[in-house]
Amino acid sequence: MICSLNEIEALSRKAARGAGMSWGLAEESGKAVRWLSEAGFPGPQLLVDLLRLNDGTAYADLAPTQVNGVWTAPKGVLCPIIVGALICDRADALTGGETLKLGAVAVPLLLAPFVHEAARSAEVTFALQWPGVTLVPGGGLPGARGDEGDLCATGATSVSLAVNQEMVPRRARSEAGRRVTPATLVALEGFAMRTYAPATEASRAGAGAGREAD
Amino acid sequence: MKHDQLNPDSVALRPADTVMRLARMGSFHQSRLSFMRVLLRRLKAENWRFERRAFEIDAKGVGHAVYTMHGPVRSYSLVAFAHDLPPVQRSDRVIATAWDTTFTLYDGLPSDADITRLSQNVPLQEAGRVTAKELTVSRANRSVRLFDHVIDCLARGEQPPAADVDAVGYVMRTTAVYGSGKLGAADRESIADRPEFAAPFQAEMLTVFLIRGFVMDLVEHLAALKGGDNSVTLDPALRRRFGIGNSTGLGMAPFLLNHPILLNNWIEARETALARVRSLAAAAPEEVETFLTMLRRGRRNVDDWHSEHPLQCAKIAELKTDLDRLEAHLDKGALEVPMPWDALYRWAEGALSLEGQELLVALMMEPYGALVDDLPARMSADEGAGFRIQGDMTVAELRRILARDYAWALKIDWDRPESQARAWYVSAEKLEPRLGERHLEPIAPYEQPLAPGRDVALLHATLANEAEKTRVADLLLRHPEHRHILRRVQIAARYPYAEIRDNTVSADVLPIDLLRAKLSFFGACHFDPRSDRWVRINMFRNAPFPHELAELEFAGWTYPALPEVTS
Repeated sequence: MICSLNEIEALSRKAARGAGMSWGLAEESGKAVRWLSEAGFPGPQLLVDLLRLNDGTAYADLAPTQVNGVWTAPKGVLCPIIVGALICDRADALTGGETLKLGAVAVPLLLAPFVHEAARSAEVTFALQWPGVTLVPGGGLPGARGDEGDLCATGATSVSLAVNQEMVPRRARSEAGRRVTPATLVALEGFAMRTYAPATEASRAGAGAGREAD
Repeated sequence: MKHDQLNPDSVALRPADTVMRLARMGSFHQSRLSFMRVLLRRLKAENWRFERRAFEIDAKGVGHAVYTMHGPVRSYSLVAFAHDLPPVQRSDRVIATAWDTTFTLYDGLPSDADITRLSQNVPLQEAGRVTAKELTVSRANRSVRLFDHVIDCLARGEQPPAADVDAVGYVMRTTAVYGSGKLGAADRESIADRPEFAAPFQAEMLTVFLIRGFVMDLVEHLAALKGGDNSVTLDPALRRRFGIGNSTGLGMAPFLLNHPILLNNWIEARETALARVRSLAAAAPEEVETFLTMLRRGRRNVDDWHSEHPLQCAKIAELKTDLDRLEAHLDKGALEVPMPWDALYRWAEGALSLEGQELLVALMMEPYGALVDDLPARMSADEGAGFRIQGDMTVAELRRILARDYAWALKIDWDRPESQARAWYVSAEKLEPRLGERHLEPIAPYEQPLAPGRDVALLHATLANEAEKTRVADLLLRHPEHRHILRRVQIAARYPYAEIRDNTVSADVLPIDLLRAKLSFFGACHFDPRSDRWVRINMFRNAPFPHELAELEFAGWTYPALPEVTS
């Protein structure tokens, strides 16, 4: 099914919230997936991969802490939404030319929208690298080197972020990112469903127009 | 008088603490800046041409029609489907699955293949899919009271009595007008660069404008089939007294909370218009005449305003008293003073109810199209512009902002049960926002982030343990639960009218205030609350029809016809 970007963002936000993220991080998820879909990547499926990996894991186990210059998660694998938001929030500190080193990250492509935003705000071009992949988000469509399997991997053992030095071919514009498979939709809706309260008689009454004879 | 001749400092914009209160927002009226009026001004100024490209409706009222407006660069087509709906299925609720008529606004001129595709999807509404070639999806149901009555009268060769028309005001009411990418339609962002969509909700307003034209044609068509040679069409003046109705419930209520920059831009435009008019050193005789005419016509609009809701009845009664007071004050030469509009407004603040004050604000803009009609172009918003968190803001700075912009929230005692009696949530049954009783229903775990006042108080409490120099980036890493409200706070710091300065979950919150505020910016009239959480309105009542745009002068069309005035 071809979805609008607004549909993709709204469903992703709800799904992320349903999977346990705070509302603010769920909003980041929605925006990130929207950006990926607009750039031609399978954003909704990438979010499904992430939410399945982290389903039931507490925030404290996912949040980054810096050890010996490398950001890692206490329980092993960083959440790209949490660390992506941190990259954006600290974009001002990234312009010094130092490489930001991350340990293992789940679904690393989900970092790209945040790096794009940080690059725009810091007015530099960053390269995001993990095994097999160099990604340069910024200025319209992102540049990418690496096969689709590595780009869309469910995890990477390490990821680095540095000011970009090389030419990377830009991706072609594509509608593929707005094409969402039924299985992906069902998975996202499953997570989103957890945000819905069971209806009660009291709430049903008077919510909207009835069937009045006028 | 042009903007550059005004002294912008002579009258300040009203402060957010005055304007952004639910009781006042729930008293807003349509004005020159309303989106329906913006649309019709553009269609007129640019000579948009109407064409009925198809009308294939059988004797049972089943079939399709295509109504097109041709603009200077592009054309837009309402594709309408009429159905034979058994009365038992007629419901205005979002959970309905069948409607009397269903619609989509097509971007251009639809081919036969498009019509076939749309006929398989648009009648299903939420259960169907459209594409980026469609800009909106909508549906409407008959007013049981008036639809058949009008057909019966016309079929007999009679005009329906004007009193019957005015008592309801429409023969059909829309129960949803979806845009902005809903059901697969075009994203707003993909059409926002077109001049005709520069002001907000123009595709939706064009949809409703064409629906009204189609619905009246449908009524006359069915009357002709029923009455044959005896039947007549509606007298054109009486025909214009039909608007298109709309029922709006809780689904729309969170919109203003979810679009803070857009809300700011709407309010700021309106407040700017008011300040410009109040800044005028004097009122020319023809401007006074226009104002007085619009006041008389506005009075008729109030007299035509019916509601059975006790709260609204009381407000309308007060408004009528306000208008008497206003007329008496004007008779005493209220406008024959320096800065007459400023003096009049300041008098109204002490003398009139909120309904009266806000109607006066709208009426004062009427003589001054040249002064205020540029403002709607500023009323759209890129909500994404407020998304990024400014991570290097310090806790000290954040505290200053909270003290300045959220004093109203910090003084509420959130531990009192009535301060948080309600909770906004989405029901599994309807997938639509609802407002429940937090202390009586198991809904708190599902609460939507629609209580900014309470959330600011929680953020404020967390800050008590933080050092002045701590950056919010570090705070948020430890407290992700505050990320949503911190984003709002940073938006509100830059956009003064972004936040409603009232408790949206208190025991006495009235969701209809949120609905009224939004619908008044659309240009709706005759707000008729049916409870504290849903409202019926009338849209495009007294407007010209699509085929009349060229021939009619219709400045101030929302006010019932007296002799027309120039803008």
